[in-house]
Amino acid sequence: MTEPILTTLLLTGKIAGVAVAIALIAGVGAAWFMHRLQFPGRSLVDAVLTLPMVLPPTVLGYYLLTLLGRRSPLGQWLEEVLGIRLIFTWQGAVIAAAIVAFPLVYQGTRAAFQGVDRQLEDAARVLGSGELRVFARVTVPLAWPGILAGTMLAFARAMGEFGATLMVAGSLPGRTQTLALAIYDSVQAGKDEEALLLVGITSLACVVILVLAARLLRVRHP
Amino acid sequence: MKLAVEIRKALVSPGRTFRLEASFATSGPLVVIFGHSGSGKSVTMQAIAGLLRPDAGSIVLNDRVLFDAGNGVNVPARDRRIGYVFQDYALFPHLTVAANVGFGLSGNGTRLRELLETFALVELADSFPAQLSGGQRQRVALARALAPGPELLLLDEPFAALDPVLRDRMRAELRRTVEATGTPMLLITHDPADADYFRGQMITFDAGRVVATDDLNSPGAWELARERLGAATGRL
Repeated sequence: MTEPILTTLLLTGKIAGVAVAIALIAGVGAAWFMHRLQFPGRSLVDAVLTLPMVLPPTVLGYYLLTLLGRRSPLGQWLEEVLGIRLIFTWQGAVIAAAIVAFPLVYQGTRAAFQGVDRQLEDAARVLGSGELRVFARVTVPLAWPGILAGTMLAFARAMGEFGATLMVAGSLPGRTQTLALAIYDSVQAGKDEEALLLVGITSLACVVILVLAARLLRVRHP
Repeated sequence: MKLAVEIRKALVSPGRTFRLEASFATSGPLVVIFGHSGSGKSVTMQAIAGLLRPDAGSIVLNDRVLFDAGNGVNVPARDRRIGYVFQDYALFPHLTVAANVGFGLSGNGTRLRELLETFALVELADSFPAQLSGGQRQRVALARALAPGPELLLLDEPFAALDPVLRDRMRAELRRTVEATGTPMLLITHDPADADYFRGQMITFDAGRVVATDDLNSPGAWELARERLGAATGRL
């Protein structure tokens, strides 16, 4: 590793932060959709949405390369029309991290929505609220601790993402090399002290996130 | 107030199918729906409020068609202008008393202040539901349900969660409130004492059907109904 540790840390924060923002919006949206609607094939959709959590990251990376690479129609369209290149860029790392983080937000939010007393949602409806207001004023505020806990776990997962990121974005120091990738490089290069420092920082960040998530899940109204 | 209900609904749960075939017409202002738990009272009330869609039939309130399976009419709950007091009140636990009462109001602070005063909730305005006693919770639920000025107020077992002493006080308080606001009400109960206290029209449910309709205000009607209730419940 030739880049200073601070650059790696900032890059990791940027990639994980943007990825979790995407996963949060998509995950809460998907959870609401699944919470409110009944349709045939619902459990299949649920399984597909949860798939990135159980698939090996390299399998995801392969899918993304095939889907977004320069030889794919979508990849060509993105590059020629919008001028966006996802392969070997930090934006590509964001996509990979967002996809692995998504199921954690989605599952956490769905469980939290299911925990909301349906009668409270009904109470809002008879008081004249439309579905959007029921969602914003009742469902989300009551499910908030669960949503936030899922989001924090998603952040930890995005921060530690390795396999899919490596395949899609590579491990370019200062451009796509996040903490997890830098640790691998340091160990390979025999830089044990650097590896130890990076491992320590990562472990500390994850412990803080887990403690915060556990505290949020215990929050109850007075 | 005129309410005509004629609905059918099959509720399927593992190992059991409950069939509701409720049909009654009433002109209020005070209707008691009486029956054992599981007789179809609550399902009927949810259908009137628009929280549950019947399989067939119609619901008409004051010449306004709220539901008509034949013509595909199903007014959503939010547009029915029906107040609902849930059995355990269903107060929003994350909102203060003032925010609960004001939930169905559109930005009129004067109306909210009036309601808080009418229901003696001014001192409690910033409290959360979990900090309130049973009687206070019921007052919040009533104020919240009446806030948007509903055409009809539905109450699902409003006294079941209260201890007997408080129950008598809250009955009197409810009657005063309803008389003061002039809102017609329909109250579900399995307690004959409620029917005796309110003495309006009584509709008796059993096994998903309406088995009797009595006007408890006419002379001798309560005694007759009471005999029948006594025979049915073995309690009075």
